[in-house]
Amino acid sequence: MLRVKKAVMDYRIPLLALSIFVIMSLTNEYFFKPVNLTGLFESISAYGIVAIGFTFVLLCGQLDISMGSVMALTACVFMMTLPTIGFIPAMLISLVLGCVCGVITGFFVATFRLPPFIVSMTMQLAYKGIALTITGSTPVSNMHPTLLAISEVMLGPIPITFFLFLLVALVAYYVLTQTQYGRNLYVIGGNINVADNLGLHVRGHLWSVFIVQGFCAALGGIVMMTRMFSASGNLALDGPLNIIPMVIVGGTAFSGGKGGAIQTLWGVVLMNIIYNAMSMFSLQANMQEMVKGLILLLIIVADKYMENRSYKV
Amino acid sequence: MSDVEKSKWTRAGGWARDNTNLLLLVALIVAGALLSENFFSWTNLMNLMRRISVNGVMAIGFTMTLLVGGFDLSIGATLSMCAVLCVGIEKSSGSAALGMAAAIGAGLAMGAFNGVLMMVTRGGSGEAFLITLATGMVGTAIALTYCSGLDIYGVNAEWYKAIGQGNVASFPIAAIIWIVLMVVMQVIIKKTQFGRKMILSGANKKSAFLVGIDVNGMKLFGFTMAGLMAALAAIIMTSRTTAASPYSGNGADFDAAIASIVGGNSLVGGKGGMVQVLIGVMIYGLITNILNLTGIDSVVQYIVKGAILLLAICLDKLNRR
Repeated sequence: MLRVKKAVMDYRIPLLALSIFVIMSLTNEYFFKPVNLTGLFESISAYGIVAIGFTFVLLCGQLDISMGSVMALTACVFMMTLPTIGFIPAMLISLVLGCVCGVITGFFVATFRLPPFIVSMTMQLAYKGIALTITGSTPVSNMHPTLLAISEVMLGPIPITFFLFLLVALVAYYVLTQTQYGRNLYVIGGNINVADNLGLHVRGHLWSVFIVQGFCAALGGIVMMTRMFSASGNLALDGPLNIIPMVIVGGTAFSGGKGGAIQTLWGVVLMNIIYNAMSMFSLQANMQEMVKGLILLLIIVADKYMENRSYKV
Repeated sequence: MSDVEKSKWTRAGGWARDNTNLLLLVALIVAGALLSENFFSWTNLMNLMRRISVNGVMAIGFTMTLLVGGFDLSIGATLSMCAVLCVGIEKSSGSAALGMAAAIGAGLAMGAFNGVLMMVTRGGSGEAFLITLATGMVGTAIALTYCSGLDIYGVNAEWYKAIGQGNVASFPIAAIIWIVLMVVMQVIIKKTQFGRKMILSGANKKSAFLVGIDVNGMKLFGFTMAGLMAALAAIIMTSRTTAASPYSGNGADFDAAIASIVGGNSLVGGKGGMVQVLIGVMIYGLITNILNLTGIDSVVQYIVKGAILLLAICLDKLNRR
């Protein structure tokens, strides 16, 4: 009995996701339709990839809310260069650009030791400004044949981009659990001073997680393009507000050193099923935003309360 | 060089390092005067004062949260929410006073909500950032739901319009309200025992708690003040434009944050005051004014604003080292 209880506690997020999925399929006639399932898996992949990158940042005890703007910037550059230089070079350019964004944000956090939240807030503003400036504040649309072809590759109702998300999650899982680099991130997130005394190159590791986050944001931006075919400087404005709950629900803590890629994978799936179910109940869009905000608030307060409850102030 | 002379120069260097923001303000005033000959005209200066007063009131609230060791990103959403409520209730009830009361009530409630959550989580600025990110989302959703995403145009009483548009002896009333609020806050935080305790609780909450200061109460006070200031800013803004949009507060939190940090309020809490708010808001207003005068695109201004904020926090960090 005890073992069952422990198993349920350990797998509560996948179980919750699965049960909501089953309940929705049984009670709502529109939920278990191929169209809706395709939409659900499509919505998972783009933000899911970014959420994996964000997991690296959180594991180190850092914070980066600029991922939405990095997605916008890289997607804009991708869509602008796509017609002239072709798919692969455009993709490489925007992935490198994503890494450069991570290098800049990481520089101020790792070497200047500035608070990560305010640096990433500033960077969010700056990247959005750059994206809006280079596009002249107009959306860049492009029905490139390669993008169309990617969007049409399906395995049953599941689009191919979902498998890309799975691949990213598995690679992240391998890196975080099987390599020395990944284990070092847990040590740094657990206690940064201990990691420093152990002789770890803390500054380099901190810098690297922002680069991983930038790379994942760029990849997520490209994946988003395979179903939107249009980028603008205001793309993914709600990115941080959607992605942070996914990662935290999965079980990666704000304080760092706890969590992992598979937890984030389940968090992403759960939150996307909840968002999808909300739209099934024909809830007004503004009310949906409010519910999302309240969920985020509940998660943050609960997480922080559990972390700090032993302190008086 | 003799020792006396040397020490004089060292002292001058130290003074310059401590007052970078004041020097920046003077440089901007000179730049403004060089760029446009109308800069020093009374009309231009008063227009500038009128325009920056909304951001000024917001920056007062933001500084209060910085002083207690917090950080409030939700004031932009509170501004939208209060503006929509103020004009909407005024329109439906026909009474401007009722609309203003509703706005102030909503602002206080939003601020107190943030404050209570800060007490529950025993948070510092990192927690405050995340919590107010989420409450800001809720606030924007409330504003959008109340007005169904549309702009509201009010039926305005004359005395209400005068708040944003009127002058007293050719000095804008909005700016007078801003300055009075700053003076009141400055007296509270610098001249009363309560204010000293508040600053101490922001500077070092553990030792403040040990000497018997109600640190959590101070947090509640700081965040409630931020909500109140956002409501007052909403009243000034709606009385000037006689309309409210659920998006009017978008970016207002960033503006207030930039203004108060550029002015020299420390991010770690416990250092700063209303003089810094005055300097910061004027620097920020002048930069926006100069960018507009030189015809720089409004989206490029995002980049400039981001760079300024980054520079300011780097300077803050270097000063603390």
